[in-house]
Amino acid sequence: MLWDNILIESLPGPNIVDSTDINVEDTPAVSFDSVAGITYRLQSTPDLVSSNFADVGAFVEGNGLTRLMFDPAGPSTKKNYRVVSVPNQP
Amino acid sequence: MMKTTTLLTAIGSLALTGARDGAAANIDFESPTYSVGDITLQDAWIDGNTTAITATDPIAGNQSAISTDISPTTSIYDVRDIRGERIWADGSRISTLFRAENNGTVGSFFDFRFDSQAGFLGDVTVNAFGQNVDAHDGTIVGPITAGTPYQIVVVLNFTADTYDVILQTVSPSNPEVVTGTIGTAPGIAFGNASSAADAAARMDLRLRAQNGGGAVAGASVLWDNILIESLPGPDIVDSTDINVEDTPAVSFDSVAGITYRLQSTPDLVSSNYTDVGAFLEGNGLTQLLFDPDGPTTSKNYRVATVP
Repeated sequence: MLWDNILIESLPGPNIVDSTDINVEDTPAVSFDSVAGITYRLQSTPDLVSSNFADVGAFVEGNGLTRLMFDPAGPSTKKNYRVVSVPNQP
Repeated sequence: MMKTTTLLTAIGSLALTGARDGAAANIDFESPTYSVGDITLQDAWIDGNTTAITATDPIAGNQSAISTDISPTTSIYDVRDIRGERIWADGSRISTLFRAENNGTVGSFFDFRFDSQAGFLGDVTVNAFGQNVDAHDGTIVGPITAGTPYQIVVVLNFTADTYDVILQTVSPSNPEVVTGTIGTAPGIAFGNASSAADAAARMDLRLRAQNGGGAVAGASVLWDNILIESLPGPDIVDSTDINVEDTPAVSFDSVAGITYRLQSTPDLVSSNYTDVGAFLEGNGLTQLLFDPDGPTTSKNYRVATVP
């Protein structure tokens, strides 16, 4: 059998976003021991006295090691943070 | 940490005697002496030729009643509850809304009763059902915990399968969270409703009986065994706040509704990008993505959208 007219063409790659590497000094992070296969989300309060936690929109996939989570809105020392496991999140 | 508080909130009883054009109507609120969350009805009024409104304070265990003769000239009776919601009958249904509020007293009785009469406005559809259904003895295990989501379970002791009964849970911050309809066999446990008590430890519960057509003389329907129990809360992970100095981050302009993931190379010369496991939801603003493995200046980073 002869294969003919085999067309090799590029497939769409990942949609890369214009981004900039920067250094953020003195950044509050939340450290936690992750479990592989679990997705974690970061939550914060609007201030240091509230107990009303809401998602900040950041997710991290657990890998069995200690991981860090950061506020994607930028560094802040005026919030309380916590990490919540979210199985089956994207 | 899972929150598993189970409770039942009593909101007293309501007996709404059917009303129609040309007929008188009585709306009675009864408050069990030991109930949690006594019905609060304030500033109630009747839009029409009102003849009487009495007893508007059901708090502290006092039985109360609001009774009035409703004018035949109105088809929607403008009796409102504490939130300004109408208790109304327009020929097809009766709808009302109460507030169950934790007053700190735990009781053991709950009853919400909805009576209808043949041919009257707001009759509940009770085909093949001609007698009162009575059930009591709910269990209250309180109190409501602020910020805890709850599931509401209603056991309807019906003997027919023709009811179009709608249960809505309402919280002030997120009204009408869930609506469910029951239309099948008697004795159904209705558990497909959830809501979140707000920071004031308050939950509103709306029960609506909708007329699907037809009525049976002398029929009554009692709502009973409304169980409000907590749903599992978020699984909080033990974590520690730390400060990471001089942290490399990737800044980019996000688009709301798009999820972004951070990728990196193993070193500064490779072009083999792999996910670092961090992603976030775009919000239309400039956002930062960080390496969850910690700060490093020995990788190249890029941000990719998640398909």
